[in-house]
Amino acid sequence: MNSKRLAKIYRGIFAVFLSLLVLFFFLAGEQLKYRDGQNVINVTEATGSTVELTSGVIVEQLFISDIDRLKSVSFLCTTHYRDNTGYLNVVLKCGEEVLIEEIVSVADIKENVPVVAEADEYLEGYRGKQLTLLISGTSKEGKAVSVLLNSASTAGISLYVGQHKPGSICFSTTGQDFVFTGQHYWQMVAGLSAALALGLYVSYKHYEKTGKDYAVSVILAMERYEFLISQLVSRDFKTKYKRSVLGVFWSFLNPLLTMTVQYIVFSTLFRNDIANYPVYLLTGIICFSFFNEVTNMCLSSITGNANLVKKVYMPRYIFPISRTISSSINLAISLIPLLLVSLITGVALRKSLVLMLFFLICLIIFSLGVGMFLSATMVFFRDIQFLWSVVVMMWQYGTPIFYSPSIIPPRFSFILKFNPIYHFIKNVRMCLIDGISPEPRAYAICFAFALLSLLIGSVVFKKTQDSFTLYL
Amino acid sequence: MPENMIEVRNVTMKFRMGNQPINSLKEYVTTTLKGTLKFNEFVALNDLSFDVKRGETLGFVGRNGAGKSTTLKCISGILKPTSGSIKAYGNIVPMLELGAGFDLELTGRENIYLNGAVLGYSKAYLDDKYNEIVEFSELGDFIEMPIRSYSSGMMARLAFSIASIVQPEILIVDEILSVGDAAFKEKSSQRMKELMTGGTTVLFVSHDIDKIEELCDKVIWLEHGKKIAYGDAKEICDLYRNKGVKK
Repeated sequence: MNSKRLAKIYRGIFAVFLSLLVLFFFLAGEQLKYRDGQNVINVTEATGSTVELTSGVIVEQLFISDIDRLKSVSFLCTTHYRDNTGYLNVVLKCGEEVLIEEIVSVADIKENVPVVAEADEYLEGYRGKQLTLLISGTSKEGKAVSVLLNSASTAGISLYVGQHKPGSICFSTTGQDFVFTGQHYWQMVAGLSAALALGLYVSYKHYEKTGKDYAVSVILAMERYEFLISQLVSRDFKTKYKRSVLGVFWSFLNPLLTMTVQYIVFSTLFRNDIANYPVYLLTGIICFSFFNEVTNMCLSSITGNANLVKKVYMPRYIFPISRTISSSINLAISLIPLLLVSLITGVALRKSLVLMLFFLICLIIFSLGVGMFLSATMVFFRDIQFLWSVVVMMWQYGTPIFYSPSIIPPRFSFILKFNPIYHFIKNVRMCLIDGISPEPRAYAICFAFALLSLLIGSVVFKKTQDSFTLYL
Repeated sequence: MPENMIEVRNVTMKFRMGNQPINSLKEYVTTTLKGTLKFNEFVALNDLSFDVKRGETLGFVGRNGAGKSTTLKCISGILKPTSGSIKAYGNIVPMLELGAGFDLELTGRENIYLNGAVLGYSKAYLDDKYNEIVEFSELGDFIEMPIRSYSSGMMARLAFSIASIVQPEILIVDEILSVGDAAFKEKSSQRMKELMTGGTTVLFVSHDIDKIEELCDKVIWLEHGKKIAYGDAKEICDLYRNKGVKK
């Protein structure tokens, strides 16, 4: 390769990288800068209540809010199970500054439904400051509500209702926290671009000087084996549906049929309250069956091509890679029914849809890594295939595909936390169904899972590939 | 002065062989726990060195298991030698065992492209040679049929036609390929001779000592992974006929 062409390729890589980062900024929107407040107060369990909030009674709750942007404060009242009249005056103050002031009709207050005082704008700059929530009433005796208390709560600093009381009222806060990546997005873009530019420049100079470079050899290998890979991929595709009447149509009929069956089973036999269950289900099915397909195809990719591996020299990683590519094309086809079902069930397709691709790519890389690991170990231990089918089954049930993650008891929540496929599926659902971007951390987590898997898979593959021929 | 196309220097290839074949995790765990698993070292190639010059045809003789195929695999990069170095200046194409890369579900045409890609040819080259391959195979319209419907003779003809379209700098031939009916056999063995004498560097393994003598310039005699003799074809072949076969 001459250095002029290399320079062109490197400029192209840099331009694509930069435009992806800029594109991401616009697609991610608000979620890039803020995320749900991590340290919101939430006291819901009541152990008692205050006196009735007749006129003159003031509940004064002092607390410290540990979130960056406070949006609302709410508290629970008891109506004493009767109709009340009058008004509540709810004020949130910081020192003498009034942050929120709201007047609530007592007649509208219901048992166990929080009374919310919401700010018009997010309140920034009050993190760590002492805030005061003042609740006073205008009702008459016998027609007034009382605020619920929790005497063991440590959420507030102190509580006065005429006198000092232990614990706090049952109250909660909502708001958002700043996200570091979002607040410093352009600095980070600049840093990353500079690092990439430097890396490419060093590689370019190195190649110019010595005539070889790792990155360049990767590009050359890609060019050299592109035709072979495309032939292997089209072979996979042609043979898969060769003798079926419906052909490629199966690729999107298959997930639809699975979804229909599971939808009927799980929406009538078992009750659930998941919003837009058909799309929820279909996303999970498509993602997991992709993983299942890739790993199973990769599993036999070396042993199944034994006569080639033993006879012709070519990089062995071509086999798992070509199988992964052909499954990825299948995945792309099965996105069509997913979008159709989304439109039919009334999901508004928003710009976050594009971000879904990021998580699908992470899923593909992750599956490739697992596939490479399996294809290498399969050469030495042929019973891996039986073991793997059991692992996949356990993995499938450990992933919220047809159930909601909330039904998993908290002590088992680590199963979800360390389940990469759950992370991919969760974020794809968020982009598609909720129409918003996940927080930046989610991108980092998914990318890290994908990279880790690819790293382990390729290291194991590389270490063992020289002895493949001896065991085939 | 012809330059060296292949340089093989002090190549040693050792395999670690288990005393029992282990190919499942279960067996591995049980034998390891029992402590009955032992490994023996098997030396397939022992300090082998030789050169091949441009345009030369080098034959390998020796009994089964002498290390002939292992040498070829090391040169083509399929196996990595335990020690020593191999340098090859040019692209190496193996004459595939017939139909090794075939897919029965694909048509003859698709298999030509698939097999060609496996052998390292570009799309442009295959487009160019496509008609020649089909013509040589005498398959006619059958080329558009899935090859599972082929007779074994047809399959062999197609495989040979693809395999012999090669024009590499270094060609590896493991046993001469002549297939099909009498007429095609004649045609294919003629083609082989053309290929091997046409200026390419050829590495040739065969048990047919007469073929070796006929086609090769130089011959290496291997026994237990060691070079016993190296020299002009006639000389070594005579030696091999007298000593090797009797022993």
